[in-house]
Amino acid sequence: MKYSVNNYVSAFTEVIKKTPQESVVTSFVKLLKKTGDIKSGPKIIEAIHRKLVNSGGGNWVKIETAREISEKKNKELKNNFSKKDHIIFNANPELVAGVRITINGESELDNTLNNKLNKLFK
Amino acid sequence: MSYEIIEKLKKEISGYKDETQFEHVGVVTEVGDGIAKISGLSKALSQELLNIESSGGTIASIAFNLEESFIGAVILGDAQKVRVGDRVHQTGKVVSIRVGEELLGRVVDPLGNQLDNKGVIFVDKSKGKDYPLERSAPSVVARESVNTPLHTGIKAIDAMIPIGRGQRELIIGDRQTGKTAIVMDTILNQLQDTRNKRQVVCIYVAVGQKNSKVAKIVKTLEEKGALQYTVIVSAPASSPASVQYLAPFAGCAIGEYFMDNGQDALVIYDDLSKHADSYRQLSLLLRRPPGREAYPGDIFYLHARLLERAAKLNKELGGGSLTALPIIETQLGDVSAYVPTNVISITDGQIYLESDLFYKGLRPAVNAGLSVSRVGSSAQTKAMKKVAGKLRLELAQFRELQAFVQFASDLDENTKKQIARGQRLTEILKQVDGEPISFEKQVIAIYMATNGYLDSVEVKDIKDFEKRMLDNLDKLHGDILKKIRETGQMDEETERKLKSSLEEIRRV
Repeated sequence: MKYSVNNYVSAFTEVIKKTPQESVVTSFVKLLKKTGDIKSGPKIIEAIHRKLVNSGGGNWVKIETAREISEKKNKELKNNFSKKDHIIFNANPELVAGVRITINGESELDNTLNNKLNKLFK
Repeated sequence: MSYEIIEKLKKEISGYKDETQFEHVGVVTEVGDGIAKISGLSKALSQELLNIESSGGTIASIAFNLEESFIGAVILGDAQKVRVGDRVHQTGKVVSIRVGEELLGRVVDPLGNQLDNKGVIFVDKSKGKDYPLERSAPSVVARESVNTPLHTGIKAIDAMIPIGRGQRELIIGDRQTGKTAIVMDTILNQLQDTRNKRQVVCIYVAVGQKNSKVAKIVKTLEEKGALQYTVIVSAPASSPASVQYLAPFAGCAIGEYFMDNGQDALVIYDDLSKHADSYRQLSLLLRRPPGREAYPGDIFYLHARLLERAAKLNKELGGGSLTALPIIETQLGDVSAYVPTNVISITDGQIYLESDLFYKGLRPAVNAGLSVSRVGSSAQTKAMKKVAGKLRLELAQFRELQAFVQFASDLDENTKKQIARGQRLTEILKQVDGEPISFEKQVIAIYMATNGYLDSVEVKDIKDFEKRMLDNLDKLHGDILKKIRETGQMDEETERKLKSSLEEIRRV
């Protein structure tokens, strides 16, 4: 990568704050193509999204479960968080059972059977 | 067997406490060459131990670079097992090693794991203490001047470049000049150097050495009975750079344990050139800016903080000491390279070994002119000081006259005598490796050389003459040796007795 993800995120969020127009997004995509970093587009977009959520006072919450959970349950869970928060659901069979919640990629509440078994056999 | 497993599981399950709580976590975003980039963990501390939950179990790493959006960590275990996406947990601890008396006679890696297949160390956990690998050096008030000698058993060193307990003396020279032989002799000599009644605990740190060399050293020490007071920390050439980087700090931590307990310890870093290379590798992989010879800017601080931990503690703190003998390998005798000059300036003196002297048969190949000990003379025993002063002067005169040796027939009598004396002094300083000589015998040998007892002996016969004289003196007048050994002095009465005994033995 020519520039780091953080550089793109900082540049984009500062520009969009001053001129909130669609043309900024188009120019940004063109820039990514020019620098050859378009492959890392999803990563950069997620980082921008995360920064925007955080700067708006919300948290980037990732909820991982061993199996897919229903839409109804998703909604119920979402209602427990603030509207400013961005919630992502992910199914990860490696967890065996239970739930793992990660906030802003830094803080984690691991209540999975996988974690409990690991602790038991440590 | 299955019954035992089930019982163990039952015991674990019944005692299991579930305390799920929020924890700080990071994720590996890049990995390669023993280095991992970790996102998250914004509250990690510098040098903190981080646990990577990999597919092959928990692998330890150290937070080296704390940057705005990621951490550059050095992996301490098998880096092949770490994958992108692995979760990383903080431990709130720095790297430490379990130290205690049980380490004596063992070969361990820098993390304290045994390498000699002699069984688990510290079966009883209460017997050891955790010592951090990185620790600040004792302060000025905690120290006192070096006042006790650390005898190496090598005449040239104990007489002219004396080392004191708590000193840092560099051993520097090209490859194959006998650097390791000197430290091996020093370790072996501690077996017989009982004048101070305090056994010096030796720690030999092998950094980037061949496993075969370490095995040879262990065998020699074991055969000669020196392994019982020695700990070997091995980070061989096959180990990752991170482990080689930690090895001297681990050795130092072990030494500090004995020093804190009021004992005298000796730590040997063999060698710091390879240690600097391993740190350079880590730093370049972590993208730290390279400086002179591509070493990072803090290479001086790395060695200074390591060697500053060698100290002689004051009596209030137990009076223990930690002596450091770092080794530096030079390339074609170039002592002006970056790392050698750094370590020369940090240490309290250096023993300079020369290839030319080595190939001339002068072994140990110590260059007495370039070697110095800045603090050791205050720790030298009075007996040795008495005989060595004359030795140093006469050798210096001989060095000046050495160029005229080939014109010996045209020289005046006085110069001829000085050259002949110099040749005999040089001869008496020669010593076979692996056979250190006790300090009282060194005193007698040098006394004989500087007082004309060798003048009538042919240079080629000096070794046999010295051996015969010392053996006979030991058998017939052991009390003289005993007195010098116990008091560390050679008073007028002892000197008179010695003179008459030497005359008597010479006649025999």
